Amino acid sequence: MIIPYKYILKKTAAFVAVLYGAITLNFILPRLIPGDPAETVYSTIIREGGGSVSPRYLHQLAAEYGISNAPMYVQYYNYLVDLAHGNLGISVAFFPEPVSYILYHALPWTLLLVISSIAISFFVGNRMGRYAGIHRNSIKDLSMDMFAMFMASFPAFVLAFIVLDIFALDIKLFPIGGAYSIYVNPGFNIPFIISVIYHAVLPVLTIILTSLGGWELGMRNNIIPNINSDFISYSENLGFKKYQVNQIAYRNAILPNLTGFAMSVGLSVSGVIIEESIFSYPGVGLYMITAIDDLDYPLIQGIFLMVIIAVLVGNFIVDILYGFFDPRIRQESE
Amino acid sequence: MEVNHINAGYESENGYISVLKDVSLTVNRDIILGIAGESGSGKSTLAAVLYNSFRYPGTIRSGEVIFDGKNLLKMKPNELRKLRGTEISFIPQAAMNALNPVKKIRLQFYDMMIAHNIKENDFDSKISSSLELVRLQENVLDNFPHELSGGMRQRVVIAMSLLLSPKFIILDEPTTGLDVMVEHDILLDIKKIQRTLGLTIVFISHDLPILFGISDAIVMMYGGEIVESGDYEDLLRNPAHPYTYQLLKSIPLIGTKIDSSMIMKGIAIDFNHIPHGCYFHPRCNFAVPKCSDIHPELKQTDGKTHLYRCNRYPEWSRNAKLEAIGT
Ligand SMILES: Nc1ncnc2c1ncn2[C@@H]1O[C@H](COP(=O)(O)OP(=O)(O)O)[C@@H](O)[C@H]1O
Ligand code: SF4
Ligand SMILES: [Mg+2]
Repeated sequence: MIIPYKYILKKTAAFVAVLYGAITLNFILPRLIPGDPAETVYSTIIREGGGSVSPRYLHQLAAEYGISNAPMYVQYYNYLVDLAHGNLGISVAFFPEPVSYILYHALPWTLLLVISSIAISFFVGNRMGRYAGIHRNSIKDLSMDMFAMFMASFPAFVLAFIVLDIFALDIKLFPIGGAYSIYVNPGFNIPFIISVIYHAVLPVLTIILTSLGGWELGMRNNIIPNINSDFISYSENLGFKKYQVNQIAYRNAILPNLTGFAMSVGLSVSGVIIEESIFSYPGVGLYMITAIDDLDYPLIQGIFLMVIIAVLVGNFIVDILYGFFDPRIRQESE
Repeated sequence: MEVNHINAGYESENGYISVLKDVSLTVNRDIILGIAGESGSGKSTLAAVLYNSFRYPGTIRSGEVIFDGKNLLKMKPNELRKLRGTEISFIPQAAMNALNPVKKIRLQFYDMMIAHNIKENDFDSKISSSLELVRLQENVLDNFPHELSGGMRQRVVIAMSLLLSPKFIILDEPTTGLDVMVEHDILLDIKKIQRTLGLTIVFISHDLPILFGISDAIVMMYGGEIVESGDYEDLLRNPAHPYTYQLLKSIPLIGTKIDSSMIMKGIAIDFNHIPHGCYFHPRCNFAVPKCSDIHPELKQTDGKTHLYRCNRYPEWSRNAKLEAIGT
């Protein structure tokens, strides 16, 4: 195996640059939005506690939220230092929990949903697309295409409600919410793992169903020009076996779908937000809904940053993989 | 190989377009048969039919291709697959893009041998002997196709086609896109390989000098028909069809000035509007009125193997000689 060092170095530099840009944007954007979180907490305390808050406390709150009248570059410097220490501020809605603490507990659940659903959907969808492409314009292909198109255009939340209604409420085959049963001990033990899988089935299934069609159609459309390409007809002319020919077409067709894979990481994270709220799944999405309801800027910001990082990391990984899979790409960059 | 009465063409929105019309020919063993004709005369169509790799919208209406006593066009897919690469081979027109872009050359050779159930112990010896034939170093095996020059890629394709020692090979414009020196080298090698291994080759090209340089026998195609065929020397010395004559005359020789009489007039036939009578009459320098009415049959000259399709042979060739003396 050749390791494309130069290519990896270039992609890493680009990744770091874009990441830095995103982090900076995350600093600028909230400062352009009117209102400040300290005031939100303040009014919440007034509303819920019915009491009053001293100006001194308000000032202290403001300091907690990093809002100050200090010059921008000082604020920016402090922001970067905080970030480096994993300090994303204090949540408003879950005051006084730090945002990083909330994310730390919610993120694994979201990752579980995202990674398992994308992996399954990518694999199954590409296989379906390969099958449809090889049997292009036959009944098998057309019916598969119709299914894929129907599924891809079906709104995710509607499907989620239907799935929830049928499998959780009507036939009660799966739980209606949560990530694991209250009767198991969280930890590395069989009952817990089974419970986790059991609770993840419906949300994962829903995400798979809505994303499968995209892979299927993408693969089908990529593989057809490959099947008609010179190197495919040449391998047929040399008497390659059917499975070898299909494999060559498939491998060349999956490369563009890898790019789609990176983009889908970002899309899935946003899709997952909806799923989590419908299935009451304790991931980042569920917190996001609460955060928006309560104008919890620090939490929104933290989640925003996390989604951006997820998308960038996804893209970065795919770029690197691409370099290993497609020798032409890495040469172009040298 | 024996090719009998092939009629083939393409399905299109306006119905079937007939390209090959009653094409019959015999390819003798151990020779290079050259198929010549301008672009669009139906050479690639014929090549694909010979190899039974003609695919929709291409359609074969009738005819047979007999190879080793069997009709290739009627063979079961798996039987045909086993034959390909081992008994017969095909080097396509766009040979430069014939290799899988994302796999190293070595693995592509391996795939070929896996396809034909070759023992793994024999892999390396087979590869080195076929690379030796095309004069390539073994280090190309560790390259991806795009890392090689056009000429080297072409040699890899030829090596792969020869890997399992087929005896019959079809090459359709195998040197398209290569520069002249590289092309020349490869052609010499092909000829040498053919002689040493005793291969039978069908070599297709629109380039007459190349074709006459390499072939033992020639078939001239015009408008999807064979218009002349025979020994390469017969065609070169005594062309019996004005198309052959005019094409040969249009080849500039070193040291001569090009004048307008040497340039082949007109354009290749449009298969949607085929002329009446002799297909070539609009461009023929020797056409007479009957040529636009009577479609000539394929006839033999005195030499038994020399066939031609012209209403005015040998009259026209006498005129041609007079013309040559006059100038
Ligand atoms: N895929 C196709 N669909 C329809 N017509 C085609 C197709 N390929 C070739 N033809 C027709 O067949 C004719 C002969 O083409 P071809 O056999 O490729 O000629 P050559 O190889 O001599 O240049 C062309 O003039 C074109 O009109
Ligand atoms: S038949 Fe007539 S038009 Fe055709 S090639 Fe002969 S002389 Fe020319
Ligand atoms: Mg051609």
